[in-house]
Amino acid sequence: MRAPSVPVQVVVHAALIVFTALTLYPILWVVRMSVSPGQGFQSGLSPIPEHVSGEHFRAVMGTVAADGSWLFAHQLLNSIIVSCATAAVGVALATTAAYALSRFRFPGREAGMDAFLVTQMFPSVVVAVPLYVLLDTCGLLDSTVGLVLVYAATSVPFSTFTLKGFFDTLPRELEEAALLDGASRLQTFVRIILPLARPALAVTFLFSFMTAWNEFVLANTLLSDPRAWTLPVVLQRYVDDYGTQWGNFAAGSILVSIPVVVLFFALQRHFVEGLTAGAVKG
Amino acid sequence: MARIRLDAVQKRFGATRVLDRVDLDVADGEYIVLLGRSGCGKSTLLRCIAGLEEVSEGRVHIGDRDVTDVSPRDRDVAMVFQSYALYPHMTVARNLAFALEIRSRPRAEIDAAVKDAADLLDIAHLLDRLPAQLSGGQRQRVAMGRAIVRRPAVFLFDEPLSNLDASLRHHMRLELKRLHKRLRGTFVHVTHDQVEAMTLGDRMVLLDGGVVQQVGSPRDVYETPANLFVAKFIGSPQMNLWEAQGHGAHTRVQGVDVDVPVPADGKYTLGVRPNDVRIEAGAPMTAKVEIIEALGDEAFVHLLWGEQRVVARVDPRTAYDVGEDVRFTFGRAHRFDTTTGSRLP
Amino acid sequence: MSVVVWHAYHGAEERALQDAADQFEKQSGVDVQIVAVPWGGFDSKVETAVPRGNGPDVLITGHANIGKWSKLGVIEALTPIEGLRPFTVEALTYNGKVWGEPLAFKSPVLLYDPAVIKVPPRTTDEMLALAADHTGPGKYGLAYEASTAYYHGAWLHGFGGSVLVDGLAALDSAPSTEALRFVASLAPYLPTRPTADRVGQLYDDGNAAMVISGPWFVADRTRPIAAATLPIVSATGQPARPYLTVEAAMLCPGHDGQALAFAEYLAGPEGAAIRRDEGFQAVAADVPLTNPLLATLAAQAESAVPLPVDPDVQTAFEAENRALRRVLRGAVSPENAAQEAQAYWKSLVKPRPEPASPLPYAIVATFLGLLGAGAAGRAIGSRTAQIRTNATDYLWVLPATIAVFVLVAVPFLVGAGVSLFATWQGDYVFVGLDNFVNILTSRDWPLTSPMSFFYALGVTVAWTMANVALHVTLGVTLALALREPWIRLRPAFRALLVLPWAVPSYITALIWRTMFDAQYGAVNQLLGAQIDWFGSFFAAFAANLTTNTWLGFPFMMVVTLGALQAIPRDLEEAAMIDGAGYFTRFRHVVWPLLAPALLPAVVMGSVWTFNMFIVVRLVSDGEPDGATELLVSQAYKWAFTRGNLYGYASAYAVIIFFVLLAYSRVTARLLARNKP
Repeated sequence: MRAPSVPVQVVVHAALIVFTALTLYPILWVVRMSVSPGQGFQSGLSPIPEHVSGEHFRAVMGTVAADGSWLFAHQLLNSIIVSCATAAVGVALATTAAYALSRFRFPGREAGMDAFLVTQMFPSVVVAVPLYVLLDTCGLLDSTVGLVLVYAATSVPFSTFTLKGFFDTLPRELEEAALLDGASRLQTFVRIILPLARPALAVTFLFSFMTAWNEFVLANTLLSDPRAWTLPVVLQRYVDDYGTQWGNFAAGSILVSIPVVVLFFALQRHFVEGLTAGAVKG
Repeated sequence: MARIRLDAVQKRFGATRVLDRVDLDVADGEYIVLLGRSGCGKSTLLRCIAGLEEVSEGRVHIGDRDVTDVSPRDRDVAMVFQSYALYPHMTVARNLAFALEIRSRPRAEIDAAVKDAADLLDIAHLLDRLPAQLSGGQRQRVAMGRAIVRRPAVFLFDEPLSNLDASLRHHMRLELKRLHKRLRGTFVHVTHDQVEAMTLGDRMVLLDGGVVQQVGSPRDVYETPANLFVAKFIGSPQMNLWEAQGHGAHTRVQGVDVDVPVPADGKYTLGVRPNDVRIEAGAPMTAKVEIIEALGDEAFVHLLWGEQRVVARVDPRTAYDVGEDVRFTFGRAHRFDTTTGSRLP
Repeated sequence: MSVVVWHAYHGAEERALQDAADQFEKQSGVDVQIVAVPWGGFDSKVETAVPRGNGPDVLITGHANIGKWSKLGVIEALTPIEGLRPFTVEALTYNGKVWGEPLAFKSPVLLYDPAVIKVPPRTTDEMLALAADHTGPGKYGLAYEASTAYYHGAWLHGFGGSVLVDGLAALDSAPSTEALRFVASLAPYLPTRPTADRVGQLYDDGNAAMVISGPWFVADRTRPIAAATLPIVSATGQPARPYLTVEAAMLCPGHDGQALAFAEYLAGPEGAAIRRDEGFQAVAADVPLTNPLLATLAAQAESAVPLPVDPDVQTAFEAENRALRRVLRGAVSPENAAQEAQAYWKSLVKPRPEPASPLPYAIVATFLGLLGAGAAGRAIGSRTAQIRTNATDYLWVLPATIAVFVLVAVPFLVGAGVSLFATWQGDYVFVGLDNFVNILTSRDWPLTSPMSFFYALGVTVAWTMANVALHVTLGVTLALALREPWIRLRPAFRALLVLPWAVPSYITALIWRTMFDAQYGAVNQLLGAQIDWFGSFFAAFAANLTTNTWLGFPFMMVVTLGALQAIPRDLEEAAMIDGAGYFTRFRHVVWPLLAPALLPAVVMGSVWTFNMFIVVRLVSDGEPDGATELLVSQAYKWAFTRGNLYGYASAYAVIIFFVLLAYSRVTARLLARNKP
């Protein structure tokens, strides 16, 4: 595709830079507070820190459990395990469901899709306590499994819809070709459809991951042992009506954001490079 | 190697009847072409043979087996799709190998089969490329390669040449013919292009509105079209057709007396191929030259014959002037029932 | 066995608690596990976990919840040890019993900059004069969270008033009005509606001469700070009497046998000394408090008033907060504000609905259930053959369906069931559909009041539409720009623009709030304007909208980037050859292909936005006067900050659900119509 004229390019770049700068501005304040000494809140016009110190990062990362083990590492690991497991379970549940909804015509299909959408409409205000009782009954309190199941279930409807939308765009001939090549439904799904769905899988993986990564209310309700905590709970520990520890809170927030940015970097080439090109016709 | 037999195959989508009691017998090793306009049901018929569509009624046999309820993967058929349907995330080599990998064949066997197919189709140098890196013609070859690599009993082609340009299409036609000779498989080929059908098929099946209009060798179909539809569909330019009225030896076409080789009584549709319109001095009928189409090795003149039009194939070296009166007569003529369209003796 | 202790302390206090626990372990051989729980979820966590036997043995928290918790059976009464300051024991007494071992007490005092104020004021007149002297451009004589009932308590009591009299609010009493009038006279020397963080920053920057705050404020300061008791109210000659919080170690039912021993150790002289010397706590034990700040707290405690334990104080505080904000904003006179506040309180404290007989409901429910089961049975029965042929298809959707049903639908249905009850301090009374009738007929408020369901619905709909429109516009525009190969550094732009999604929203939303600060906020400074962002509906709505747009567009951008992959560029190239300009190409080629792929994200995005309350809570918090509250944030407030009316809140949630259901029906129909 031909690029537009140079003045247009310059204007578009300039607009993009200005917009990005405005977008980053609030985040720079988080950065500033995370590296400035003291726990006080800071604001003003220039987010460039006057003094730089690593004390907050040390404080946040240096927490130690009663038995002397490195608590922060535990909690970071919890968060990563919970979020990755949520994404894996959520995407696994959603891909099979989405494929069936996209390709099969069975009684109850429409009703099922409606029901999935409807679950997104439940305001979360009322679910925490019943969920607590449910998981308590199943013995899944303070456990990674319980939390992962809840998060995954929460993320499934959106992932299903996104994946179904993507599967709908994949040409059916590919599956028919695979079928004639001797592949079963499952083989076709695993070897043909899933590799082609990479852009949508990347988006839904990121989405499911984020569902778990930043969730606080349920994590706080369901987890009582600090060694089982995920990072959002750790972060909320720095917030208090009597006075938030802004330095630690900001440093913690930055630490929490880094894995997300890394994950995004790792995934972004999948959703910016299409694979359907060349599947059919010229 | 296998013959294919269809017994009264019907296919309905909801209330729409797409195939209506299709009976067909394809001999082992035969090259058969399904021909018709788009929407005539020819692709659906192919997909019924493949098993991609379930038939609503009737039976499908491949070889000695009734495969009506057999999954496509177990029918031992291969198909080349109009869109090629190459797996975009796999290299050419893996596209070719996929069917064998699925069947868990030994690696050595797979490699040998892929190499054979690639050599046969002259795509050995493309094996490491992705489909997106191939030209249209190359993709077409890969799609064919994917079909032949596992030597199925039946090859199905769904408009395989329609996405190619004219010269490549001609080349691939020959290639297909050659392939058929070498593989000795049963080929079923769907097309809307009569030239493709005439040149490739041992026999051809003409379909319209889900109904088989005629089955026969290209020669038969051309020489003795079974009905008006076939008569109009086969041959270019189209057969001349007029409403005719016969009284004993006299035949009149809209008030003009015409001279037909075999006169008959009553009303019918008279058909004469442009080939069979002979322009010669002293012939009984007169018409005025309207347009001359010179195509190099052949030429057609369009004549105004009263209120009728006549197309005649002529020697391109003979010069005609527009507006000139010429005399003509008919060679071979066809008669069809005007209401049912079927051929009259 | 070990003694599990939940607390929400930070810093020095947390360390001191741990040290005291270590000492106790050494002496007694009992294992003590100190668990720090986030402050924000402390109460709800306690109320969820303890009744199901998953709570700790000991809770350390302020005394304000003992009324509710003693009723809920979350804590047990005990006999406090000897040698405690009597007022701390008194604060923990409810229904004639003592509900915890008092540990420490806290109250606001007068804090000042010793470099500026040589002698702290003894009367409010002196304080006003000093404040006037030290107020100038960007400088404030006095800074505190004046618009909160908690800090206002000092003046209210100093004028002889009280929030609750015999369990009823007395917000329109003469002393109440006087106190409001007094605050109005302070207004010229106060920063506009500062948060605790803003007060701290003002002080650290040397822009606030005097501050009213508690010991927690002192810990984080970067400048020297001095403390004094609050001044005497000149008009009455009475001391200002701030609210007092007594922190205590409370015992949970089924606690470990050693829990009491630990609580007693902690409260006793040894534990108290550790907490005083290492945690800088004003301890309840009668040991000397020589540190000047602690001495001031002890002196202040003599006049301080313990926070009421009556659960109705929450609603009274909300009404009082509202009055304070309106007076300080100059929207209304103190007299009218007092009247309004009283009326507002009355509307919040609804009369408890009459219990209804569950029998007719049970009959109707059974009937509907049978009807539904019959319909479902028929639907299945008529398609048995089809279901059987497609049997394996169901295996593909089954795992997801089960997960969503059990973990999403069932909890909601159970939660929705609560809507048929009136809940008050843990009692559940069946009232049938009364909550729904109340909400939908707006029984307690005129339709145009921000408290009415229909007003909040209007705001929520406007909020949802504006947000989704902005999310989609920005997300799609950026995604389109970022797929052009001639854009330099595309991966960098993409990664930077996704950051608002990556950084936790509970910190960035707070940053945005401060950016909208009228005096210090970056937004006003950049615009060169003096907009009071939380003073009018449109400004506050715009502030919320800006924040949520910032938070939400990256998600849309990522979804669009994914969806664009399915659109071959050759189609656009074809259109380009046909002479179509960029916007024509977008409208006729890209958008028609993109829209279906974005649809799930847009539909779900609007549902999420509809139910998104964190931004409203953290940015405008409903300002001005609840005008920017959404349906969910109202539900949240009814559930958690207005006397725990779970039934009423649940009814809100159920209605929200049906509103969204209707919305999805309408959009589905519209979409079906637009399909070719």
